[in-house]
This record gives sequence, C-alpha cells and structure tokens, in this order.
Amino acid sequence: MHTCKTLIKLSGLVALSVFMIGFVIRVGEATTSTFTREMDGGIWRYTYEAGNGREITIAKVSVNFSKSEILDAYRRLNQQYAASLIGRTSQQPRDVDVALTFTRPLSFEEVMEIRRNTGLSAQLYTVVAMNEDDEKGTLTVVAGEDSAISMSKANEMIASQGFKFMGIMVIHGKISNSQGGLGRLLADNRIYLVDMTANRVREDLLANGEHLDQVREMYVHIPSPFWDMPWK
Amino acid sequence: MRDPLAVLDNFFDLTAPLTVRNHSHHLTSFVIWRPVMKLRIALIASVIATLCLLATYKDVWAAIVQWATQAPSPRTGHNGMPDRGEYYWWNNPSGDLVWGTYILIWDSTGINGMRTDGWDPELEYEGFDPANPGLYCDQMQAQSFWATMPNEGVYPSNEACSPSVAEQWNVDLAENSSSWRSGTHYRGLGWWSRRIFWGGEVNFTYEAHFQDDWLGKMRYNSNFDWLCSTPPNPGQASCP
Repeated sequence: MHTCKTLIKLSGLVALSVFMIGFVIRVGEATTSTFTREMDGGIWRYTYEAGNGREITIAKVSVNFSKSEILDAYRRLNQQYAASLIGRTSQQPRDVDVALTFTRPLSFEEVMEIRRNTGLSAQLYTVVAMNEDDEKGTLTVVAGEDSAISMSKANEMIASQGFKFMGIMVIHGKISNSQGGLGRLLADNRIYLVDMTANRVREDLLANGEHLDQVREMYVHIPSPFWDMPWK
Repeated sequence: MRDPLAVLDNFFDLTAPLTVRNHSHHLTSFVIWRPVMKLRIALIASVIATLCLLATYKDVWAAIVQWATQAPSPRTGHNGMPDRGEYYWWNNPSGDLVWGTYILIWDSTGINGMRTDGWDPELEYEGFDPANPGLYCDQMQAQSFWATMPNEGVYPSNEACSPSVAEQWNVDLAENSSSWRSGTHYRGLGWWSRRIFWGGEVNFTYEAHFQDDWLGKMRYNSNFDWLCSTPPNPGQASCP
C-alpha cells in the first residue's frame, strides 16, 4: 500500500515536471522582443522585431519627412554612405540593397533606361496615379520576370480605379556597389534619394550581436517621402 | 385582360405564334415567323450571356464594418485606427483575387491618434490566420496593391510557411503627411494570385510600434467564395 502511494506521488511529480518543462519551452519559443535604435543623432531610427527561433524578422526604418531639415540630413547621410560603399570596391564588388525615390514620376521607358545603364535589378515598383479631382493613388507592383507585362497590368488596374497613370516614383532593388552601378545612380539628377539604409540596418544589427545567419528571411521597410512630392 | 405571365410564356415559346394588335385595334392572331424568331433568339441569347457573365464574376461582395463602435478583441488601445469602412472581396475564377478595404474612413481623432501612437503605424492585410500562422498560409501570393491613403511605402511580406510566398501586404502610413483628411473615403485593395485551394481566412490589422490592433477577418471556402466576416455584415452572422 505504502509503495503504491509512493508510486502515485512519484508519477505525479514526473507529470508536473514534464508539464513545467513543456511550459518553459513553449514560453521560450513564443518569446519575441522588439527594440529601437536611434541612428545618426536621431535623424532616423529603426525598430527590429526579434526573438528566439524567429525565422522571419522585420526591421522598420522611421524618418520624419515632414521636417525639411531632417529630410535633407537623411539624404546627405545616404549619399555619403553610398559613396563610402563605392570606395570599398578594392574588394570584390557585390550587390547591395537600394531604394530610389525619383524627383518626378518617370515613364516606364526612363526607368528601363536607368536599369540598363546601371544594372539595377528591381524588386518592387511604386507607380503613382491621379484622378480628375487631383486625388492621389499608388499601385505597388511586385516586379515579375517580364516587367513590361507587370506594367501593362498596372495600367489596367489604375484605369479600373478611375485614375490616370502618372509614372514610377519609387523602386526597391539591388545594385552593384561599383562606380558603374551605384556610382551612376548617385550622378543621375532624376533621382532624389538613393536610400542605402537597409544595408546600414544590417551592419548595425550584426555589430550589436544579432545572429542574422539564423534568420531565414529579413524584411527591411524603407520609407520614401514620395507622397508629398509633386506628381505632375 | 390578358395574363401578363401568359404573354411572357408565349414570347419565350419559340414555336408559338404571337398575338399582336394591328392598326385597326382589332385583336388578331397570325404568325410572323422570321423577324419575330430573330428578335426572340437575340433576346434569349442576351439573357444567357448576361447570366454567364454574372456567373463568372459572381463573387463580388462587400461588408460594412464599424471599428469604432463594434471593436473586436484583443486590442492594445491604439487611437490611430480607422473609424469605419467596408471590406471588399472579388474572386475571379481565372485565378486573381482582390480583397481589402473598399472604403476606409478616419475621423480627426484617428488621424491625431495615428501621429501619437508611436512611430511606424501601418495597416496589415494578412492572407492567413495570425493566431495559427501555419494553418492557411501559402494559399495566396501578393501581386500588387492599390492605396489612396498617404503612405511611405507598401510592402509584400512572407509571414508564414514557405519562403518566397508573400501572403501579406503592409501599408506603411505616412502619419505626418499634411494631406490626411477626416471623413475622406480611402481605399486599400490587394491583388493576389490563388495558389492552394483550401478554405481559409484573411485578417485586417492596424499596427503601431509592432503592437497589433486586430480589426477583423473574412472567411472563404475552397472555391475562394467569401463566406462571412467579423465584425459581421449587417444582417449576417459573425464568422465562427
């Protein structure tokens, strides 16, 4: 009888331990944290969502574009960083992330010309459109293998909303950090902002001990000031 | 007095002679074969064509939602969320799917709230169930997104399951833009291509500083026909 009671107690203890261990593991799996880093004296900052075992992470960059002095400083910082990346081509040139904001909406042909001349590969286009009442709309298009088809479909979608295609204002993509790639983008006066911040975020995360090699996919949201710029 | 339904029956009976009134206002029955047959066939053909067209684009739906007064939980209490609006669901059998918010209205409290919620307010159009991310993922692939609210960028993202299948659209709101107007009808519509034919759900969320305010969901069946929404469409049951 006594042995039986001991066995029951023991099995209860084991069950409780298993439950506790399971709970700790579950909590560990579910733990995520976010942190924010102020960069370049508070001109911009990024927030990163990280955590144990997270395979997909997101970093969001924030800039207060409504303040012209901040926007100017942000543009200058990106220009300086891009120039420093070109300076690093004593090593093998490599592809880096870039987000371009144009000074005005560019035609599809102009964008294709920039892509041909610089080797820019596009991942995401932001097309802008207006209606008769000067209301604004944006169509974001994932770049397909055949950009021409994507753009013709974009035109159809814009027309179906009662708007008129004005041009392309933003491109997210990749560019070689060579003089012929990134260097040409910096020299093109149709480009208002050559945003390299995605690379700065990655460098900063690595410098602060984040294990990006364990991350399967990382999204960096780079904001563009295009909405409040003139579209026509 | 003739029964109007009998006249209609008579009209659609291709073999029956028509009864018409002649110029002398005397009721006369006679057969007008060729012109009347042509007219009947043309009308019947147009009815069939219209029905076929309606069948092709049958899954166009909208649901009106009041987030301010009919708030689902859980919420983290952000003030910047839209006040009210209307969901939209358009299922083209050829493979496209359009869903999102056909109408999205902020009041002045919401616009001010967006600016004070913390940085990075955004809208998420999630093509899966965020409570069970492995459940309905990879069913739709983000292709393009139409937005009329001030934004700093719209991004596809893969939030669950296979790499390279982005089932979500994130709209980064330009909270500091001076062009926000309270009461304006904004629009946010995503185009997806359909991939895996299971039933599932899509979710709509307002987020600021990585904290979500879940605003509602829509469920669909294996044909991608829309079934229900939460909050419910007036007069319809809420989703389970």
